[in-house]
Amino acid sequence: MTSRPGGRRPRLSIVEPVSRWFDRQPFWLRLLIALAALALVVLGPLGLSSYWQSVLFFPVGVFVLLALGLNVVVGSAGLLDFGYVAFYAVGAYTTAVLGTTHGWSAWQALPVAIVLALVAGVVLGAPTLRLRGDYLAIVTLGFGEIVRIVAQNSGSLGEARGITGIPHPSPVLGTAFTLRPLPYYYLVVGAVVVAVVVTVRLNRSRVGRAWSAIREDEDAAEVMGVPTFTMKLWAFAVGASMGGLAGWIYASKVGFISPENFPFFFSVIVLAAVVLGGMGSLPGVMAGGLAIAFLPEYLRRAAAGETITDWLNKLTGGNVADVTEYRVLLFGAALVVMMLFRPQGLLPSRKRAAELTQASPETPPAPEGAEQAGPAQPGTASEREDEADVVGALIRDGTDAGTVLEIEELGVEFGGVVALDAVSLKVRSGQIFGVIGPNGAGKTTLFNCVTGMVKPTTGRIRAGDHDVTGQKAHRITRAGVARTFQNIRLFPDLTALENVRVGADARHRTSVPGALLGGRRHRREERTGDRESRRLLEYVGISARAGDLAKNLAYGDQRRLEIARSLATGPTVLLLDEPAAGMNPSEKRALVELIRKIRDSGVTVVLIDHDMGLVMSACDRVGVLDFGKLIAEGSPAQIQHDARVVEAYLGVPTDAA
Amino acid sequence: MDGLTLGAIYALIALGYTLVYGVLRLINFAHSEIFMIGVFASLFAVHALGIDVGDPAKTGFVLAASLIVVMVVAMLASGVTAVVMERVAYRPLRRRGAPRLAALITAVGISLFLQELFAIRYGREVLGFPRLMEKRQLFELWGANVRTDKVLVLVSALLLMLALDRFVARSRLGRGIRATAQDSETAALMGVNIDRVIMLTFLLGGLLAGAAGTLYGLFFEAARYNIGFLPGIKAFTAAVLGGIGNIRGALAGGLLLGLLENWGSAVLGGEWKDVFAFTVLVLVLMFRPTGLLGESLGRARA
Amino acid sequence: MGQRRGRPWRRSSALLLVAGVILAACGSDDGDGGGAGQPEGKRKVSIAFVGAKTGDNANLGLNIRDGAKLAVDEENAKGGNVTIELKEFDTAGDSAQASTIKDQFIGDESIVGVVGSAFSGETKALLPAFQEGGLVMISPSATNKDLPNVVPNQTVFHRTIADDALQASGIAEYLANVEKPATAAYVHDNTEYGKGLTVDVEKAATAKGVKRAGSIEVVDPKNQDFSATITKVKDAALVFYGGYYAEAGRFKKQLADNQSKAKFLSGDGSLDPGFVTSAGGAAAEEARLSCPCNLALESSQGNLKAFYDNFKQKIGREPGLYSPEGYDSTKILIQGIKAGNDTRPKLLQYVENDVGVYQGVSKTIEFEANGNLRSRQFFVFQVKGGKIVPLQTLTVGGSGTGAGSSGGSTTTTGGATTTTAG
Repeated sequence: MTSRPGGRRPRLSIVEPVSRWFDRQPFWLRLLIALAALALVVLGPLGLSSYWQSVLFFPVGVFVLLALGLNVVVGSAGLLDFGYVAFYAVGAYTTAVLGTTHGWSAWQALPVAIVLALVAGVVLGAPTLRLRGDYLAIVTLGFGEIVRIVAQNSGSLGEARGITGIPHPSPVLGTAFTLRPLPYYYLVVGAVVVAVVVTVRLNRSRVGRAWSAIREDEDAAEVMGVPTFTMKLWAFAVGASMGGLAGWIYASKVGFISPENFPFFFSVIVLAAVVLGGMGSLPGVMAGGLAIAFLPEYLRRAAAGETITDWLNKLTGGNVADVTEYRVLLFGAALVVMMLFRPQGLLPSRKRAAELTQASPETPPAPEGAEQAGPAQPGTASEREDEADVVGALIRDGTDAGTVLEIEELGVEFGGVVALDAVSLKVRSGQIFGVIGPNGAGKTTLFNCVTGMVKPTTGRIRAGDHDVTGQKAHRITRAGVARTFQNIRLFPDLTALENVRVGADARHRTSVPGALLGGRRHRREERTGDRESRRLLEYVGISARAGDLAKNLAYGDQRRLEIARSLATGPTVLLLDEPAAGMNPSEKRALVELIRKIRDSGVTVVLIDHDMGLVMSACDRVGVLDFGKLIAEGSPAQIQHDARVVEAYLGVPTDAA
Repeated sequence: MDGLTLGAIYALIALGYTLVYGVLRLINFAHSEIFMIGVFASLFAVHALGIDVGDPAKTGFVLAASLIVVMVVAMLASGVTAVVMERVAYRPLRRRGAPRLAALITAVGISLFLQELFAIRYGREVLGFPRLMEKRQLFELWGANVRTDKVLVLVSALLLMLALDRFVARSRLGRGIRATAQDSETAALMGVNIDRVIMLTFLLGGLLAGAAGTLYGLFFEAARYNIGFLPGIKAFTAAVLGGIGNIRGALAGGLLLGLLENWGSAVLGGEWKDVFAFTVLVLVLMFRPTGLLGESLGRARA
Repeated sequence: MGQRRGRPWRRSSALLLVAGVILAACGSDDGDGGGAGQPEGKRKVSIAFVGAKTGDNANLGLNIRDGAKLAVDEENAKGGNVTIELKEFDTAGDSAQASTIKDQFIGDESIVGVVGSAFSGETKALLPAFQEGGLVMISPSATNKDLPNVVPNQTVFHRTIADDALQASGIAEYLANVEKPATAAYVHDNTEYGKGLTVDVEKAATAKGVKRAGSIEVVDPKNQDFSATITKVKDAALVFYGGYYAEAGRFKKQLADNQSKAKFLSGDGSLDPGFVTSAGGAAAEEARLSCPCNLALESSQGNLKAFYDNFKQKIGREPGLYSPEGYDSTKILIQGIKAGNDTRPKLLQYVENDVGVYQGVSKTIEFEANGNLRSRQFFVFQVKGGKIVPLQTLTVGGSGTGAGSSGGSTTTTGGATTTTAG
């Protein structure tokens, strides 16, 4: 919504204190609590009538599972999906077709159902993920409908008849799967556990951080080296496969499915479960699924009798005999009321941060000394390096001398307006290169071009040995070009440390499989990423704020954090877009110090700024842009006396600055 | 012709989505129920005028007068509902700075509530409209059957849309809407009363949905508690197709969608109509990611 | 907005609330467990009604329920040593819903037989459970022709209505022998019922020499606008519509509004006063509606008329579609129980083997081995003066000789009772 009062957002959560408390308890107590919870879930339903057992399976269990799946898409990656039911349908139909026409057993169909749902996720994702927000929503809605209609019209999928006689799973561990609901309930519980484990593992990996970054600011994420497209696709794939799993369970229990089981409304209800519970919060999402599925069932069975019915009849002017007629109405009203009182959801996500700060809970305010970053990690030899090397060590193919950034005849047009016109530049290693020019001269466009956010119309760009012209932003970042933004673009709801770790992940390669299996590379990357990120925070001087949300940092600290985040990607060239904007003189002096320090560790710096004093004092070379053209290039002294610059840009004698 | 008629109704509803979205970035899912209320209000107004099923169709002045009365009643009913909805459900959320999706769920809740309320009060059966005007064929144009009621629907819808376009482009309040759509904070600083602007957009959207309800009732002569759902989805699709937040986009999207559906069901068969429409939507969005005419309500010039 | 501080309290109370609701719900469940106790020597046996009591198709479910209720009430009023209880289970007409609640009646051992389930979709979803629970069912209204084969070697399934296959041949014969249109167009709503019926009717009618106009057309029942389809079919001499009454009425109206002179014929899905409402009165006139079910109308005669009066007096409204079948189905179960078959296996065995020929109010009922109805009676109604009135009763020809004049060997024009009601 538009007018959000900054910082007013209630940020309390019951999850946070409880989970903190939980973390503090000794191991045996935690184990005991976990076992007790498990026992309740496993043994509790034994005492219920078979009706409630069956309600626990469907809708409750299935909804919780679906909510978890959709949460990966909506809660983690922030992609609004209105067609989630499609994946559920794909899973169910796969099971049905394999089971009936091909004679597969349910267990054989299981992996296929999951994989096909995953493929459906990718197929939907590939063409549509370039769309954002509500456009994505409507397209996913369309996809959900298309899947249903195709099922309705395809002879091999049973058309409107649906498919009957889907086989039950064969017995496992002496448990027969027949029509009794209880075994299926345990199956769902198992699936929910798997889904939770998968989600937690992913959230604590490079993948989860990438999703958070995409959710917060997709463009910035891409520039920080997050392969946003791939990661979004993964989000769809993971969410879809959970939907497929749910579809498999449902189809093999019920034995009969038809297109009616998969209406658009179903997607909306699952989405409601996710939002109602609290997006991104696993306990919340599960509670949401539980509430959404349970409430209507409860109202159906609430034999509160005729008084309530009479009362409701009077209230609405209706005339119905049975209170069950009112259950959807009450459900709708409950949704509205819940959102009024708990817009963040039942159990909102605690700051996702906590997952990362867990290594050093309550991040102690770090005193001046350097070494206690990452106290939880055992010290290794490489940790005791010089401060300057923190940055230097990250540089990959750092060439000692020569050209690190070469721009040839670069031109950009926006619908006939020439933003850049045949700009050629060479930035040599170890320089601080300043770019100046009046507003609208094309400075930021130049940066956007170099970092791949804008595709150049003509010309070539080389970073080191790589031709990066027209490449995707995250690839350019990986080739060693990092940047900051004129209007700071941090990931506001991530912590400072997480922000930097997203940058550090540009050098990592772990993807979903690695994160799920906890491979060796994943563990190594997590370890070094955490260590390096903490040291970078220290390097820019804000290690004390590691656990704070980026949006709560002071302005100057945000600038510093953005620099640290860019450095974490291991750049050979760092582009700073007006880093000094809005700073007071002493802050500016500190900034210049920092920039010099960065340069000294071997990173070439290109900076845009309007502060002539800063540019002239800090830079080794300066280029001047005017109306998209490079009108001069040279040492600060040369530039200050260049007639064209004086004329076109400064307008007044040079020392006015 | 049928496609255009239906498309014009879609477009009228789509305007409600577009206006609210433009200003609030909120998909008002309950808008379909505002429309449904418009249909019911029209039905009640027709009955209140003493017209019953089986009565002879009206002509001339009587027809014009009763149409206007019915439409005004429906517009008021829908407009008031929309404003109440905003006050009761959305504004508190906005005040609390709730996330956008919370508002979406609220909308779903309202939608369910209103549907069921009408289902319980007026039954789940289709309620028939008396025939208000004769459905006489005027002429055939390239195989399309041009009929009096279709012409009336199309013309009134276009007039209403034109009026809205003028209003947003020219009037002071319209300027407030555009300013808020572009940048609500700046607009607030410039002295625009945001709450009033938001209420106004809901009101305008509601009025148009009410008018759409009357036209729909006139054309299809049916009212039912869940009648809003499908036109709602379609109108939302139309709004996105044209570029959500863009008034003329809603018009273009609505008409185009109506034609596409008609054409799709004629060529591919009725069962594939929605698949066809959604596929075109996806294709359009692939090449024009913000819809046919682009997004901004603020920049929708006169 | 200064009450931020109250939050944690509110939070935990919300949790407590949820937990409380769950517990309360689970706790409230034990009422209907075992009710088969027999105090005072009077035995109590339960019959379940399974069908839609809420939702879009609730009226059909309630018609059946009231038929069943009438039968049970009549029986209990007679006294005797067995009290019959009717337990009602609401599926909302939705197969997913039906699957959810099925354990409720399968698990209740006091229930020995089921009237229902009402619709074909939910019946498909429920049949495996009925079979597993050995619970005999008699559906008054599920007409899908595949139902006896959903569960291989099933024994529980029975119905007091002929299936869609019979209806299709009935309609085809009616078309070929009575209506004899120059051309016939076929439209369906792409539902299982509508499509299945229409495809079968077309096949049979074309085989009998009825000329088809164009291809079979499909409409989306959720849409209001059928114009594209109407343009294609409006010039045929007759349009057959396979689907449900609301859309059928709408279709009929739009057909009339587009200056079509086509006659209109539809199946049992359209046999409802709602058809007339939806068509807007005038446009519905003369429409032909057929059904393998029989309607109890004021203009009915004999037993059916008696049922009509009785129903109207006891239930307080006119009987609706499937009320007579609901009554008959229940009567058969009661007859079995009275004969001492008060357990599931016994009652199942009774319905399977011992019913013989039962003279119901709707029609003569005799079950085939797979649970289908042996009777081949078929009924055609028409809309007259805004009401549905009987037009013809046909016996669908076993001889299959096809051609022949009206009233020939295949069509017994069972008294064209074109009584105008009201």
